Amino acid sequence: MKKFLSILLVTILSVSLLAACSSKGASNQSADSSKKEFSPKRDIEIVVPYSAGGGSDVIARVLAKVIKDKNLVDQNVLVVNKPGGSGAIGNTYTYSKQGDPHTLMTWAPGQQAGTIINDAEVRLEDLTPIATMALDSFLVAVAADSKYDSFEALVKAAKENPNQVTVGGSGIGNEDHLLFHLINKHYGTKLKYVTFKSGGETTAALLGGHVDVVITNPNEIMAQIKAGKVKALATSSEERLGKPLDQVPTFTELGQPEVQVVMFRGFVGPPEMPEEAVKYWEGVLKKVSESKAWQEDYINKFNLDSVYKGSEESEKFFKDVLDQYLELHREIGTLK
Amino acid sequence: MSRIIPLIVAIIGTYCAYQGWFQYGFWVNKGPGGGFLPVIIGVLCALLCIYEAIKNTDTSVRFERKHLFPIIATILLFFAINIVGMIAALGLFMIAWLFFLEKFTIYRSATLGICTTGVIYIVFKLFLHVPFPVGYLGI
Amino acid sequence: MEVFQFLFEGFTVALSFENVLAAIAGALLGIVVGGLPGLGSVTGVALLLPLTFQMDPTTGIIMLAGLYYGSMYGGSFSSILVNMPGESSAITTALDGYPLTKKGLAGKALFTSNMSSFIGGTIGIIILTFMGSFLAKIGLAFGPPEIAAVILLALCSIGWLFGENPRKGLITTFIGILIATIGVDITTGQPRFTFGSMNFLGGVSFIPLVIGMFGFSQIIEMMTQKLNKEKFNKKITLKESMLNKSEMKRIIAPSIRTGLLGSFVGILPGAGATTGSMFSYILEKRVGKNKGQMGKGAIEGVAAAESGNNSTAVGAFAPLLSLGIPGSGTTAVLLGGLIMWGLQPGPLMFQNNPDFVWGLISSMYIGNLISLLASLAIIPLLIHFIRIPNAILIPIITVLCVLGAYSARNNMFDVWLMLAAGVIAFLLISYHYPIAPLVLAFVLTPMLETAIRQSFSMSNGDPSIFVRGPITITLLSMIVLFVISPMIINVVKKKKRQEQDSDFLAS
Repeated sequence: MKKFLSILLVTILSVSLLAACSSKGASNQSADSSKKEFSPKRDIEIVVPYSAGGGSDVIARVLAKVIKDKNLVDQNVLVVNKPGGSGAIGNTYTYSKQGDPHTLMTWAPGQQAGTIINDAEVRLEDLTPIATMALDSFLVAVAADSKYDSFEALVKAAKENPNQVTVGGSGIGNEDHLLFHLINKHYGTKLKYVTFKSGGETTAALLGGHVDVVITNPNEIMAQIKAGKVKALATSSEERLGKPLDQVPTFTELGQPEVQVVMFRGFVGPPEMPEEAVKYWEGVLKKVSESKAWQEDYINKFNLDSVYKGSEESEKFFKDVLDQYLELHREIGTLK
Repeated sequence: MSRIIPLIVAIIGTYCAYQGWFQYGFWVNKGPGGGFLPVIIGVLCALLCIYEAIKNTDTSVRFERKHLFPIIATILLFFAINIVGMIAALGLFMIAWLFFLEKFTIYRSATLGICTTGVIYIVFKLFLHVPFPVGYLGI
Repeated sequence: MEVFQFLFEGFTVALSFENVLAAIAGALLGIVVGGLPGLGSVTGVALLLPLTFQMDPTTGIIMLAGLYYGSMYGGSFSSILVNMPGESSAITTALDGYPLTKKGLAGKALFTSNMSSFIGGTIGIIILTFMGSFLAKIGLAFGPPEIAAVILLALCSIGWLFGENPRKGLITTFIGILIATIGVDITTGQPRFTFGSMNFLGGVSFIPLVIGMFGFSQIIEMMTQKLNKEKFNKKITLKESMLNKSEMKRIIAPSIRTGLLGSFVGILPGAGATTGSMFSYILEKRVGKNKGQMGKGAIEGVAAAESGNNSTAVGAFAPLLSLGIPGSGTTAVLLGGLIMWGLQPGPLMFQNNPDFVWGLISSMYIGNLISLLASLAIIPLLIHFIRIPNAILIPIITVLCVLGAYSARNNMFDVWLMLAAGVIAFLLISYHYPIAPLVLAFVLTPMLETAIRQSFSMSNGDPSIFVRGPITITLLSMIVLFVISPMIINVVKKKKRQEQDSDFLAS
């Protein structure tokens, strides 16, 4: 009966959405500067500068869900996809919402590095950092029946057969490619990089035996590892990951702590977001981050590390990560 | 005009091939580079278009002024979107089109325009939450 | 048979009152979302996903699968009625569907589209039920060189769609390939032909291009055709829209053929329903009984396109369910949903969550049937639409073009792009350049380019990778056999005929 009710609810909800008039405030000037407390007056937009289905989309949708379930914000929370220009279209859109306290945007390292590489107009310093919510890591993985049963064996083979051992990843300049570059640099190997369009295609190529190795987020490959089709040889996280990856050595253990690419997921707001609004969102996101639903539905299910950094801390953190990325991009040659 | 089209395409093809060869690289790192397809297809395209321009026997097509109406109307629509926002602009567009071009009565034009706008508002905005651009007036 | 037992259990899950209700709600929403230009199943699934979190996962996915399904049915409506594909996979539907509408046979086109969607979908589901995991494993054998060969075969077969003037068809194919190279080259990370615009970094956006080239160019053309409206005004009754016995016969063979082909294409990594419907259409154009009429308004064309895209959509579920690898954009969104529901799509899902998997598969049978019934019920309503006089229809379609171009990526730039594409297509069409080859080449080229370059990276520059196994060799010989040699034979024949003609004239 409960199930039936919930469907009925959704059906009614869909229908009532048709009828419900969201009375949208004419402009954002209503954010009175004299008031200390901010509370949202209209629908909240979470901008995702990528298409539906990616990592940024997932965090935005889980956030919207947790906010709604816990009733943390009085207004509707909408996820808005603005894909294009490696994030630049979404960045520009958020930038255009100058001073608007009702807009948030997902923020990730590739997105901020992209603004510099593509010489985009809107960059990190133009936006208002709000929070960092999660850290992700990368696994170096091979098929279960691969002849490389340890990372050392892989390095050895790659040294003996330069340019013969192939590594699948999701694109030149992406986080996994930067890690690939660091492995080659610090272990003195000559692995060969093969670009795929998505994590799914990369996994398919590994299972089909078309590439020897993949570098990918734990989340993308976890199901295969649990099924025993794939084994992980190394992780880029600082410490070992939880089960079932607790046997996978970190690069520090493998002798090269320098092999490290930070991958975070955070949020920013439009430029000149009022201070009380930044405070408000910091508070909301902190509550979300501490909630059980967030820890279970997002952090655990997607194999992430939970962190929470507020606005000021995030600003510095974003900058540090950006600097590391730009340095790597210069080494690869994608940034001149 | 029937020769101008293949000639324009030939120029585009040549440009692509040029850029592909000199900027993007035809063969890079033991494999096709970013310029591989632009060069091959650009060259083939340019050659074929030149041949087409020479061989062409098409009679010229007559264009009428009416053909320009939707193009101009859509460009005007852009300006209207910037001022009054997407949804209101589409409604105004409907009304203006029916009234000025189709010579409908203002009453009928307005009814049709407002109905269309209403349907768009309900389906796209309220139901599907498409974030339409708002104009200077913030509608 | 173990499968039947599972399937039976699945049906008991899927046929519960709430699940049937969910399937109906999903299918109806899907028909609407699919029918609206610019919005496709990806948008629909992404929008509905958060609403389904309150439900039981099985109920939730049944609703989403219903939506996925319904959108495949709905996508064909706007293609047939106003030449504006509502979903990218419905492009090939427009090739024959719109000419049928012009002939006053919109009802028959819609009916055909629904029937063959049903046939194709059902074939896909049956294959998924019995051979899903087996086929998913075969799909894995298709690495970059194999995919390159498949796409090359498709690209070469575009030649069959050129019509009367092959030279012009070839030119538009080349234009399509060149447009497809715009954007960041993912193999090197270098932007190509972007002219410094952020909007071009991700390439020319597909939906605005299609809406402009098919829909907007149509509006410009319609401006001078207002007097012909009487033709549309003749009354179309539902009875006339039904297919008679011989027409049913005509669409059954193409639907079955393309349903089988589509299911297979859906399994290939990264192929998607657009490729599936295209392959199917080309196959029919090549082997069909009525191939001469295809492109001018043949129900076989609509049947092939629709059966093909529905079966591909189902086929894409095989790698998702049995391997946890999404085969299309929509299944990628679904994958995210599955994880949030606490399921782990992957090789173990059949073992760990059999209720869920079999419930979903069974619900596809039901969702397909419901979508069919719902779509058939809508036909009488839809045929009213084309009776709207052009005077009102033209501004309405213009509004839809703008809305569709915008909502695909929520970007005003795309509306400009749509306008430009429309004007260019109008000029090309006026001078008898076919547009379909351009759009199809545009879809295929990125896949081909990526696959070729991946292959070279894999082999470190050794081209022998393209003849490394039986799959590539078979495919490449098919290209030679079916595509290149008939062309040569044609040219030779033509020469001979010309010679004979000139001999004849001389004598």
